[in-house]
Amino acid sequence: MESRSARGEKILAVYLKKLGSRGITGVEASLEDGVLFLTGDVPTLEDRLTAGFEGAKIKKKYRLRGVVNDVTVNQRSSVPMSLPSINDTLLEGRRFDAVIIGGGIIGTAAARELSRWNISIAVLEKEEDLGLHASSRNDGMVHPGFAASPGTLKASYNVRGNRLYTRASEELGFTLRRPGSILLFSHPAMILLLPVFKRRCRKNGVSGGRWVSRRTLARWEPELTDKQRGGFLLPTAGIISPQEVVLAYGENAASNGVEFFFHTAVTGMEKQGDIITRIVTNRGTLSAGVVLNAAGVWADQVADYAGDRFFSIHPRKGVDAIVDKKQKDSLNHIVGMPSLRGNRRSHSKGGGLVLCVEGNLLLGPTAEEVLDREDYTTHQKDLAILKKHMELDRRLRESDIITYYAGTRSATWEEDFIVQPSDRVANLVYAAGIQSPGVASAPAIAEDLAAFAVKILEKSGAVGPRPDFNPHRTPRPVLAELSEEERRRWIEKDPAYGRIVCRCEEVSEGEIRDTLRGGLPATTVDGVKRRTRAGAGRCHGGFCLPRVMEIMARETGKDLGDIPRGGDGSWILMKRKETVNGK
Amino acid sequence: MEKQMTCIACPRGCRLVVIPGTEEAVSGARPESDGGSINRGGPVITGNRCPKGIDYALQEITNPVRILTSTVATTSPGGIRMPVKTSVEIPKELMKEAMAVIHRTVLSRPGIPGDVVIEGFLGLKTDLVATGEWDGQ
Amino acid sequence: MESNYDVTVIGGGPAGMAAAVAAADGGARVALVEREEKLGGILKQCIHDGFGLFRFNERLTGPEYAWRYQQMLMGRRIDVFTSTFLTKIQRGTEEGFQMRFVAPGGPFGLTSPAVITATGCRERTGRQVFLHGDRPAGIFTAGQAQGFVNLQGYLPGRRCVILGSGDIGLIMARRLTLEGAEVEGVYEVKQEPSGLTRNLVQCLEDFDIPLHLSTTVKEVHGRRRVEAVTVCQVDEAGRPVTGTDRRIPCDSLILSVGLIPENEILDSLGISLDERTRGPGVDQNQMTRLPGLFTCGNAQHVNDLVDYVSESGAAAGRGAARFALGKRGAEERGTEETIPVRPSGEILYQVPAALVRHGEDPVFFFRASRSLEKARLELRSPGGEVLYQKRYTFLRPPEMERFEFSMTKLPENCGELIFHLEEV
Repeated sequence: MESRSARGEKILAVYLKKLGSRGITGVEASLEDGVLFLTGDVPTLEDRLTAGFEGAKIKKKYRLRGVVNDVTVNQRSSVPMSLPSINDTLLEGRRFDAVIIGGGIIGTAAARELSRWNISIAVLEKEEDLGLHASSRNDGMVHPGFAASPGTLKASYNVRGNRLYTRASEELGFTLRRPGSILLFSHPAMILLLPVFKRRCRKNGVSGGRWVSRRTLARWEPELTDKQRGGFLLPTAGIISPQEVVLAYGENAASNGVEFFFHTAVTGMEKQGDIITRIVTNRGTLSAGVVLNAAGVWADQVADYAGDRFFSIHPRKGVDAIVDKKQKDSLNHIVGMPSLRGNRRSHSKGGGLVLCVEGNLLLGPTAEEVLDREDYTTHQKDLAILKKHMELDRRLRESDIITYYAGTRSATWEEDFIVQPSDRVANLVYAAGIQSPGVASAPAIAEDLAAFAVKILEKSGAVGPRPDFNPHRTPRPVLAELSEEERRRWIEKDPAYGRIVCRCEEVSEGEIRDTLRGGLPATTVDGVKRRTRAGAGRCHGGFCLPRVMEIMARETGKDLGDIPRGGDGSWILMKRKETVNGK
Repeated sequence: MEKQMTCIACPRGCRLVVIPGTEEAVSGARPESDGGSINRGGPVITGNRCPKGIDYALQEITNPVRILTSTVATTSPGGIRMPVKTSVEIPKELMKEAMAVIHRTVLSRPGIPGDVVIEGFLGLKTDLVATGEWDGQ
Repeated sequence: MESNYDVTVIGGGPAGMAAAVAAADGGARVALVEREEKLGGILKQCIHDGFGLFRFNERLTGPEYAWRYQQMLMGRRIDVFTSTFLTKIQRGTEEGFQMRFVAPGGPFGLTSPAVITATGCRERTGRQVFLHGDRPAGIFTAGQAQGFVNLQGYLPGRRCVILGSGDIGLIMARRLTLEGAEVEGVYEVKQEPSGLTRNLVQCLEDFDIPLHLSTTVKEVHGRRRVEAVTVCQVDEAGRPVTGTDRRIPCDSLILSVGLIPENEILDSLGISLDERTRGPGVDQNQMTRLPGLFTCGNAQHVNDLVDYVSESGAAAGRGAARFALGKRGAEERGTEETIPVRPSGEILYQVPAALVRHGEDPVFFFRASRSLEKARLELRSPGGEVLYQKRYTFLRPPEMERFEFSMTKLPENCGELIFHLEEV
């Protein structure tokens, strides 16, 4: 539908009138191919948000194909995507059956699912490692599927994904705990919500939800605040370490033939008719049978390259805080405040206290709409909000906070997932707008993405299963968790396993060195930390950083001054001479 | 014109007040407060809790000196460094030059605390000595 | 390899080595366990001087001080285990403490009736002082930066801002300047500097490095690497004063914001820590409330001088040897009359936390809670009798005071000892 049609004109008029009634001027709207495009400039972020959300309502009401919000705030839009500094021809002229754009949990899980097939697969990731954006900046909760609004893709993928996590953790060798979560009632009248909660469970397909009394809760969680009045238990809620899961999927994908390309950003595409023929990157131009867009906060930019804009992302920032491990015995369940409203503009999604799989306690998250898509700065006000979560557990003190971090959710204006083949481009598949419950949904989304992609590839020829596909990944052992006998055997093989480098997390030299080898090796200090937890403990690398860097220097033959902490430009040390020449 | 300084002879860090004297030195003056002065007409130093403070203050106003500590590179392939110090205090104004010499120095033989790394450092009556141990590997 | 030693010392720095020497001199068979490859603890990287003025009556550098103690270990009944890491400690029944270790030679265990923890401390991190903004590379704690400069020979940056006027920060201000980096300034959130006066002079004044009090770093800028920090002034309560933000371009931020005693291994033994010292309370023999468990050095409380660290280590060694060799009779263990020492007035904290009748005369250490011009310290019985008195002309919290007290001064029925400091 176009603006020029009578119906189109009416829709735009309704929309602009609505904005007018909210006092918003400066927005222009048009319709193209069934997509509502919003342009113009407004004075506040709040106005831009209203324009977008009202546009989503219009889209739903009039069954449009999508809504794209390009409205700027005082001439500002997001800071453009930063590009890797490298420019070469590594990928020039290469062709893969499937190219996945984005190495987060979705792209990596999809790669692993696709690797069941006898096809060539490449994952293009603009950072130096997998899962560095939203995928590692979340609380690792495998939601039960209660919070998502019934009928949404979030709800269906969440519940399906939650179930699939059991098998995924067994096959891929990552830790999955299912402590269940409890939505706390802070007022006795909240028990009247029970039928509402139960109905929500029924509608979404969440099993096992039930009421727990105040007394039972006090018995289960003696350290919980006095103010609790019982709650609603969701036993299928689980916890994983998101970094571990991304790497587990990635390592299994790599062992099944998937090629990973880091520091690789997509900067454009070429089409012929409705088919993407070439993908332009800073490392050369390649081609693909099918392209999977799992590009997180930049998924709409990738859609633009394909000439297929029908959604846009508005980033919503969240901050989590981690509390010292020694408080780990304080909680048995995930605990939070109930919210039936999904995430729609709620200032705190619910959030609460989550027991991390490593044993630390996580507070959060907050929720704040922002303009910049990769703004990971934290501020005093974020902690102020999180400290309220601390009130849930008597024993928590502000001084127990080890660290805090921020992430951004890729939210569409419809606030739901987009998981589908493109309606307009024949060889493009989308996994966009994957905000919470993205982690919980990942295994299910990955299955569907693979199915969509294979179906597209089958149009050009038969696709058979990979003969040597191995779904199993043997995780690297955590020596500190082994029995002494097992540990002795490792040390006998190599004494480096008996030399403890990170003493807060008890990680040996051998374990650190092993992360620098293998299918998806660590190439930075933070990469080592993600794979072994060396440097992630209470002293935050205070003692072990020099030792980790020395091991890396020895293993790679690099100079100590060339070992980076993380991405491009994150140098750690300089030699004295270089203060003259500059770094 | 009085000068205030903090004595660094020991961790107590007594606050000293130094009133520079005239050139003439007259003997026999008695201290007015704990610690004391030298001779009438000479500099008057107060605030020290022990005699070291007097020596320190006089030194600071005539010829301030410091012990310099640093590290030197060695020929160790592992990049081991040898901590060093000047065996006695050197003039404060020579510290920059001293560091330049230290930066150019590479130790090639093993050593233990007390071994001389550079004899007659900066042409002064001081050596640069090792303060740590290195086995030469 | 299961082995029994009379005394096992965990930690081979200045506290642990002193403890091992004293325990061996007390007749005990000693195991000294160190997780690094070399002994000396943090002294290996403290290449500056000022160590040992009281202990050896000389002005030594850290490595020299460590060397002296390493020499003392030889020729004594002390077995040294380096690259050895304590993984578990449990209170056994008769034999005492059962410990498990990991080392390049494999896991093994030791059992000892007496154990001394000399595990030192770690540095507070930026997150723990609620540093906000980006999280780039280029933020170091002062000790971490010191290790890079002195052990590896690398600089943390070209233009540094130092947050915290504690000794380590001051030492690093000088060290970085000598090595050719530029230190833009030292920023201190409190109204008074935290380090020893001597270091304020020798590290800042000597190099014209400005010290800004009542100012803190509130934000770090730079996505991959530090590009700038924003400082602001704070009021007496530490709250930011609006309108005082100042952005300072730099490429590294060095944090000297406090030390935290490393006592995590005590958790498994159920030993609680004093909130103010962050170490376990001990008596004058350095024994905790758990019979046979001793502590010393920076694990007990954060010291200013290594000489005092070694002194507490020696007391722990003597106490542990006496305990292990049964010189403290079984009837004394557990039924020992403990006299708590209660801080009063302007005392931030004092150690020891309690006295026992049998054992050495205590050496008290304390910190005033604020700077005092003229002060009087009194030890009193509950009845108000003044058992000891000392006057001070000048006290600062960063400079810990020491004095010796004779147990003979303690009356027969003394329920507690009041440790009182007031301005006069």
